[in-house]
Amino acid sequence: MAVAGYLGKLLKVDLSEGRIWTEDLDEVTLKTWVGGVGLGAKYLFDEVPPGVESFDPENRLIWTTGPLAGTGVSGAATFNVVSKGPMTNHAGSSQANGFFGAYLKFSGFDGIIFQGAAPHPVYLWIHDGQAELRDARALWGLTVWEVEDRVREELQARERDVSVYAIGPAGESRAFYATIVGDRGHVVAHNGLGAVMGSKNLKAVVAYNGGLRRGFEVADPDELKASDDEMFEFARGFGVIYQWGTGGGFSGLYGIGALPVKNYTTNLYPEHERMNGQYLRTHFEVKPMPCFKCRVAHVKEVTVTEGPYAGFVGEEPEYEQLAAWGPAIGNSDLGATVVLARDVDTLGLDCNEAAWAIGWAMECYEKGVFTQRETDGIDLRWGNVEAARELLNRIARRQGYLGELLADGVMRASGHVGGEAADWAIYTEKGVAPRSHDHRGRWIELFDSCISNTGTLESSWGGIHTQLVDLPSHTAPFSHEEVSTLLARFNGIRQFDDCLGICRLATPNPKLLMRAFNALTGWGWTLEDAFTVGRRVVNLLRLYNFEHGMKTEDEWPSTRYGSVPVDGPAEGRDILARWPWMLQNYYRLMGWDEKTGKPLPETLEKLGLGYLAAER
Amino acid sequence: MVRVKTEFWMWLGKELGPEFESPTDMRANLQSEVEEGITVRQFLDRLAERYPLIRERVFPDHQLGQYVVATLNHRGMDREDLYRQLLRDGDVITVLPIYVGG
Repeated sequence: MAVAGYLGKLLKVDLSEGRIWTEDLDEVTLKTWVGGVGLGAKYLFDEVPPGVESFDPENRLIWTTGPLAGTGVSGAATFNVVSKGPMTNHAGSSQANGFFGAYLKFSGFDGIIFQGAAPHPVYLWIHDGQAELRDARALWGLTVWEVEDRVREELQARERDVSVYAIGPAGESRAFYATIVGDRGHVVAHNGLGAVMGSKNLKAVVAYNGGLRRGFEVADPDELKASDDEMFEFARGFGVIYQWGTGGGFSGLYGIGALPVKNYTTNLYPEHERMNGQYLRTHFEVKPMPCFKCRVAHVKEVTVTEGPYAGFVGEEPEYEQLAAWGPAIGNSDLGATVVLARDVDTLGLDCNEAAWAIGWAMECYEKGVFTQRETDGIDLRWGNVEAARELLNRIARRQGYLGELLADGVMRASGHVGGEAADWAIYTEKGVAPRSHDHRGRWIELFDSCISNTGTLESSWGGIHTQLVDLPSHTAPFSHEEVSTLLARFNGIRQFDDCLGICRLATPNPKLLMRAFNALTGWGWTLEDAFTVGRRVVNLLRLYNFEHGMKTEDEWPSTRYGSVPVDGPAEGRDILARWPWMLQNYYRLMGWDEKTGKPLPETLEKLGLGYLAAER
Repeated sequence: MVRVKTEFWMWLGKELGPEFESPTDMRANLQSEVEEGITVRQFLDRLAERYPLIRERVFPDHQLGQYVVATLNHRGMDREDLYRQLLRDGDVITVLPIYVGG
């Protein structure tokens, strides 16, 4: 019997054998894991045992969408990718928006699991319930933008007939923080999932819009429409995003000491007023480039109108790209951020890790650890945009000493160089750099980055919005107690979001999201049910990570990441002063062993994972 | 009396009223003089009473709104600590839009 919201079909692709088949998704599985990261975590746990490494053919690359994708609800075209990622060598989970999540369902599938490695480059083309592997040797070496153009040409498809997600040169060279990029600038960003795709010789995945035919049922279409309207009204009033985009918070972050400046060597950046989203939208030419059926439509195309890159056309940088290619590398030309954002996306690298790596290298250059001998002639002074562009190209292709060194991420690079420079790099001890913020001014995200099981933020997202689920608001940003307590109490609901196939910018309010979810599925779930699913996902990923070598001592920031700011609004604030206490408090509230952080049997039992406790 | 400067980094321009100076698109600044012994909370309450837009966007219900945060002398602090601070001559309160998402 059909389950509303789902096709009930999972596509499986063995790239080594060139074999393709489908498996049914039953109602019990769907009600246990829902979709997105939930299904991804389940299949990763079931199919990738300890001993399998990120680039082994036995690793899986799991693309899943969720029940809301393709319903026509605003922002519902998100998909999720899960795999064992090379940055942490643990589970990685990352989402992207655009069109793919909806088109995947219009093509007849809720998800795709890749296994094996193709003997030569291929891409997967899915349409009308069919799937085929096609030769991609002619696409190998191309940037993501070039792949999008060439695939459309080959399939004789117009821009919105198909959704193309591909790896660039970085995925091919297995740069550890390679991304999967599609729909002209949307990114599966974290934990090197593009490098896993490259290791499988999989250049792209292409889905047809299927004439936008919805092959699944909706339990209550009128209620779904009403909930869509309500969510949109909420999203429109949520902070400054609707008017100014995510870059609209740039100066606000500067004002609280959370804007990353020159590899955390300072928090002073007076140029912020000419680098924020408001300045961009009032000085550059901007036109809408919305995702599938999205009414918030914060994604824009921009033409640079001033500075050395005037005339350049690219996607409007999101906040993270503005911060990464502005203050983090000491640049104060807004147009250059548009250029670097395009470069990093089309090469297929994560802007966050890339900017931390380049910022660290710039500090090393300033302090004489690197000379032009190590940089192969690049003048890596702070703010040298053309130097950053050249270095990005080298990293993506692992060219030269510095390109090869930095392609493994800033933790490994700094460890290799050693000495004082090892203490200057910004990363979590799990191996991955944080988002492009100075989290020393926003502790909730620093702590979340370190304790996360996904390779990126797990519960916070532009702060933490506890008041939306009737928990106390977060008003004490420098309280060790409030930060660790609220993060534990809120944990789960954002992982549930990531099961649903919808963009969080369109649906920041979990209660309203539940209304839409129930209208679609008819399941009548409560917020507590949603928390339970989210926590089930978190605990399963945590078990997975411990089995794959994670240690409790990995849940710390690096020396620089956890350091005390020397100036700015957070000057003197010391999160590490009570870090062990924060961990213990968080572990206890999560139902984990207070010393080791491992889930307790009774916690697993409550979440329906008791069978795993018994096995361990 | 103590002199206090309040900066709103909220792209409100002259919307707040003629007493506000707007040196850039982002900033609207207000110079005030208040008696000694006034806390930040009492001061923000007064502004909210006098300026409807501040009441609506910044300080509804005697609390900072959901999407704003404030610093004192460009230093971030826990909200209750901020509210309790006694204003001193030359203090600067900065009201910022909080970053969400992205």
